[in-house]
Amino acid sequence: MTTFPMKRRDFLGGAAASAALAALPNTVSAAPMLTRSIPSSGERIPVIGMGTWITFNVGGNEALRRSRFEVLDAFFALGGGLVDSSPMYGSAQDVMGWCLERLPKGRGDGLISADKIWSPAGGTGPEQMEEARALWGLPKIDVMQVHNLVDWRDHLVSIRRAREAGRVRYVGITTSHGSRHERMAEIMASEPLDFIQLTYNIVDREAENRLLPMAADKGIGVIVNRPFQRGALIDRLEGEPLPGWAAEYEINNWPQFVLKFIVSHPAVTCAIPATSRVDHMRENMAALSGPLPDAKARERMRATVEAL
Amino acid sequence: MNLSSGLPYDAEVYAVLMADYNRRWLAMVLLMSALALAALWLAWRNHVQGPRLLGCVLAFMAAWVGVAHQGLMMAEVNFAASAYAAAWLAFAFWLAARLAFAPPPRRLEPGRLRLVGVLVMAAALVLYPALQVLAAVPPGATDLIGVAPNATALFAAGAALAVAPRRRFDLLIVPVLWSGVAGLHGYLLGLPADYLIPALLFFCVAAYAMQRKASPA
Repeated sequence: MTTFPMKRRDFLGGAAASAALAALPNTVSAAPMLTRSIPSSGERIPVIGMGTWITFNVGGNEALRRSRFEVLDAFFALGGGLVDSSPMYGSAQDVMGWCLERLPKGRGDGLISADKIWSPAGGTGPEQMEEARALWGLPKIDVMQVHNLVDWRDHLVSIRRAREAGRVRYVGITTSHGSRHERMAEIMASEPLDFIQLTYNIVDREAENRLLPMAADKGIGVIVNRPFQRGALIDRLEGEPLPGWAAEYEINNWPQFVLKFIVSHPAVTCAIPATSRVDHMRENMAALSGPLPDAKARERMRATVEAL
Repeated sequence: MNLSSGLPYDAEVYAVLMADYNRRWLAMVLLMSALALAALWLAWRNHVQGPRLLGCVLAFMAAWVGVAHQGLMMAEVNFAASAYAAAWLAFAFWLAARLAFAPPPRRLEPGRLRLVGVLVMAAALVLYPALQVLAAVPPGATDLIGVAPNATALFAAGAALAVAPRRRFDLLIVPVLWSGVAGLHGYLLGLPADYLIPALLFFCVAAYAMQRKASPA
């Protein structure tokens, strides 16, 4: 893990973006930002991304779309990069495209788009990838993954073909809730992959046993979903006093505590918390700065949460 | 799908979409409410043509729920909606075949079961919307008979008990299955009023079973 001073020219595309950014008081434009390399390419991405499960599935209602636009705008203004979606998430891909189209010029330049092929959504893998590009309004999807390993053999072939054609940059597979870890390990052992996506958080650490060490060993990037267990983990921790030593890591609240635990694992590339609120987005994105806990501090974090 | 994932949308979004839907189809909401009142009156009067007329009304309602609520509105946010839409359309055909286009029954339903059916129909019309509002669902976003599935399933089950001859237990199958969906939906979104649907469907099935035991066909 390294940090780098974020340059304004990397962040702002022009005067319009600058004006919009000024409206966000918690902008981290001058702060060092935590990033990690994608192992297969060396490309650096911010360690906090954004998921869209539930939060961006708002159908055609314009007021709800506008509120999600505010969330996405804040995400990019605060240094965000990777955004993950899926055809399983209802209208989330379409809403994401709608929001991206309305961002101030240059605001979304740091976007790393991540999407999935999910067989039950209907259509072939190539058709789903085409639809994803159309819905996001992008010439290419950066990370294309096989959702929950469904029909993974066929879909990996399709994704690799799309990569050869320049419509995808990275190939991945996903799972969640700690399920199908055995199968994921088998695929990691036999297939060249750029990314895996799995569930990992301070109270669900099963991935530490095999998948995270294996990803580090094989040079596969790791996207972490459900960092807050869909909010249940934060609900459990809210109201408890934050330990005083957390301030050493510039941790000011429990979401940052939980996120810093995740992204301080050496194998993790990026965590993707989902939110529909700008204030929560600000809390999440604050985990992009400050020192990361080392192994000893991570153990202290784990013990703290277990004791609550 | 893993249950712990819940639904792909939350209660806030569902309420907003339901309010949009009820507003967009206000004319249909009013028409369906009028038809529901007429159906309740028909069931109460126990006219010999009641089953056929009610069959027409219920089939229309079920078809509308399948096409407009599930097929158009919910399909935007829920990948399971197209399957639900198909189930509601199948139910509409079944209601038409078993009630609307069936010959009039030779004898009418005994009073006690009919009374239970009428009460369930009235609960779908009045009690369920009232409970939703009491449970903080915005009045404009309530699930109503003929346009949304929960109230329609309950109403259809009550109507089946009220007017259908006893052997037509098949008319309760889709409402019973939907009551499971409604109860789970209510649980996952924190909408306690939706628990009324499985509770009253259980009551309907129990009433049907007791009546059948007391008076075998």
